[in-house]
Amino acid sequence: MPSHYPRYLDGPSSRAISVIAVALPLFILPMFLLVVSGAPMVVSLGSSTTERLEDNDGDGLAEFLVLDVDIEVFEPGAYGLHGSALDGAVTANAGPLDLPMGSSKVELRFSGSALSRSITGGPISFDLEVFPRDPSSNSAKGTYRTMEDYMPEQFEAPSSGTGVEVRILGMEVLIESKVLRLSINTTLPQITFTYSGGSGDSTRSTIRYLEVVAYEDKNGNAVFDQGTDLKKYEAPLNTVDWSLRTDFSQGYEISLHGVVPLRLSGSATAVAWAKMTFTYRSRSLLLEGWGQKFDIDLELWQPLDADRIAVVHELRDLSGEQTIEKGKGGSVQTDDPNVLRLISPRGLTTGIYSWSDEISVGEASPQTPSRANTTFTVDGHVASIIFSYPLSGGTLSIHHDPVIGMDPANMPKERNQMGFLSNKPLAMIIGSAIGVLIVAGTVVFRSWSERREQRALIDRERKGGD
Amino acid sequence: MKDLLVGLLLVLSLVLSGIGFLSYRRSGSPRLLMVSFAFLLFLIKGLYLAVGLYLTHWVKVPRGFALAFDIMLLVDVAVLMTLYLALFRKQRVR
Amino acid sequence: MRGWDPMEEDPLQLETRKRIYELVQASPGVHFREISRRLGLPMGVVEYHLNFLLKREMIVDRKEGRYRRYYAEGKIGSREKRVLSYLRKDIPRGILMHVMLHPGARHRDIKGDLDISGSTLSFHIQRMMEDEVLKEEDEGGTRRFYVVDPDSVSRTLILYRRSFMDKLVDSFTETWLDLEL
Repeated sequence: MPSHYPRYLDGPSSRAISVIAVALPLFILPMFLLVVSGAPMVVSLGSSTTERLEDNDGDGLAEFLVLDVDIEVFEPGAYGLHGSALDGAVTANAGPLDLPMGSSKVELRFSGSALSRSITGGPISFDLEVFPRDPSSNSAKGTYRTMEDYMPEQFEAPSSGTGVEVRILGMEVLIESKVLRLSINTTLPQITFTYSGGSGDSTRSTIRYLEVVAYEDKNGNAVFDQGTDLKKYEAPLNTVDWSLRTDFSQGYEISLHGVVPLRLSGSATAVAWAKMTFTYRSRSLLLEGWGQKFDIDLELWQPLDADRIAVVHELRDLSGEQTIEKGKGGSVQTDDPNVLRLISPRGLTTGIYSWSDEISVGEASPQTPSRANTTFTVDGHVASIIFSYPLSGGTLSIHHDPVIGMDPANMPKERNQMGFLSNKPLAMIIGSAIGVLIVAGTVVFRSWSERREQRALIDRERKGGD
Repeated sequence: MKDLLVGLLLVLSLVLSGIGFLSYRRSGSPRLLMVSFAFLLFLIKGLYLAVGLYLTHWVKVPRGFALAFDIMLLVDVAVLMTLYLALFRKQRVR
Repeated sequence: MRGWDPMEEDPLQLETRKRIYELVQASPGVHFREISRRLGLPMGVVEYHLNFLLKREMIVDRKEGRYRRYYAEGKIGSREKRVLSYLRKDIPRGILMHVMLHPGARHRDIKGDLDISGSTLSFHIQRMMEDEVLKEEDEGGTRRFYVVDPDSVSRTLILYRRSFMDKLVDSFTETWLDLEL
């Protein structure tokens, strides 16, 4: 055929192949890379989860149904565990826990009150999810169906209060409501706020008390300047043997107390002691986000050769997503002049740490009003805060009451409302492949019907027509 | 289901935008440029969803919204599929 | 060749003119703006060269509907040009194909096969008869239609198949440009 006649592809099959050959790699390959480069598997649910009932007051009714969840960890780190049943009517959380590589058993305690309200009899199916702290890693999901059948009459509410559960797990005290979870760590005075949410949804922050320092105020500005002022005594707070005391007679009061050994700066021996108490109290049994006090009490056992004593601590975002800012905002209502706010990625205030400079000091007991001087520096996800108290006039007792809270207007909703769908990149790739096949298919079909037409014409011509 | 539909949306919008721009190139008609642009907007939507759902996780679909989201995507795909198949429809039936 | 002064330069030596000529050869019935866009040439340049080629009778032009279309002279007969113009549009193509495959078809046979109204069908048949592509014969009181030169139509169909992409693009263009309020 002369070359100037138009060239055309031979046959529908080669055309279809061309479409597929070009479109598939151009389109599918980048998406495949997307999937592959995406989330790795860091954790999974194991197969040896077990269940048990817990009857603490021995009356034959269980306050908790406890699942000992088997978790397989491939990448050690911090993980949270969430369990829910009956469309979110019954939920429990655990963590964040630092899990090592390999198999771990984590307790999920489902409250008897929720169970007695929601189950109808028979085995219970729990949806379990383990989520890593890093939201870009995949969470692991699974279902556990109880071996036993349970009836609502088997359960009763735990005695520690309406909607709020307090339990002590090893080194942690946990105060938990449906939305908010507070943990107080007894190895280091540290209070952590967690919300029960899915991966990437938890807002977690902690206030960690690090050190007590008594110093000579060289530049006379009252605050503790790490470079200029002279450190006389110091005591890291994680070396203290903290004891826990709880009182639920009026709301709840949880205090950590311990004897702080102050050593001369630079030396390893303790030369003075102080009793330090951190008290967390709330008058109401309901765990409201707002306005929880975390008092600090210092009782020196002897006078110190120093101008002031400082409590060095930090407010830290654990979710990796919140930033810390100074000043009031959101629906924060406080008269305290010093306010640090935690801001979520969407710009909402999720928590505050505020304090006034009013303290009480005294010799035997803190009766006299005085003032603290405080400094803080904010660096993205961490705020370093130093409270500095005067030691003049024979002060041996100091009381300061900062306020910790979460902005109630911006508390995330309960999990069963906020749960998000999982995304399946592979399904998207399959969808694209179907699209490509449809396009190729229409090309093939159209070409085939035209070739049929053509063939009819050629046959007619060959036969000489009529 | 939403993931499957996002994939389909991407392919169909890409094909229709491509044909559209080619047609515009040959005819120079501004109307065809606008039509092609309309298909390009579908493509941008698809890319935004793909990136937001699978790469950056900006886009999160709450469980309560799942069905509505699927329906919305299904309608989009149906629109594009119809417009694509319309190109093949001859004026004759057989 | 008629009308070509051998003393003048060979018109095909100029590269641009050659490209235009080759495009007209490869896509008979291509119209002015299309040439300009497909070759990426300014319209003034295209116009100049088209006029040159027309004058040298290397190409011919034909007004079809809203477009002026160009064909390479000597490579395609005028009959084939006319047939080609009908094959470009779906309805005339459908009519022509039906009559090709069913010589002696009646008005209602064709209408039954296509998805158009009787008046539209009559309009197209009339035009094709005026262009001597179709003819009608009265057989016992019934009007029957035949293709005037079926071999030429077959040949045209076979030789001048548009590429699939061309068809798709034409279909797209037709769909959206024909919309009118």
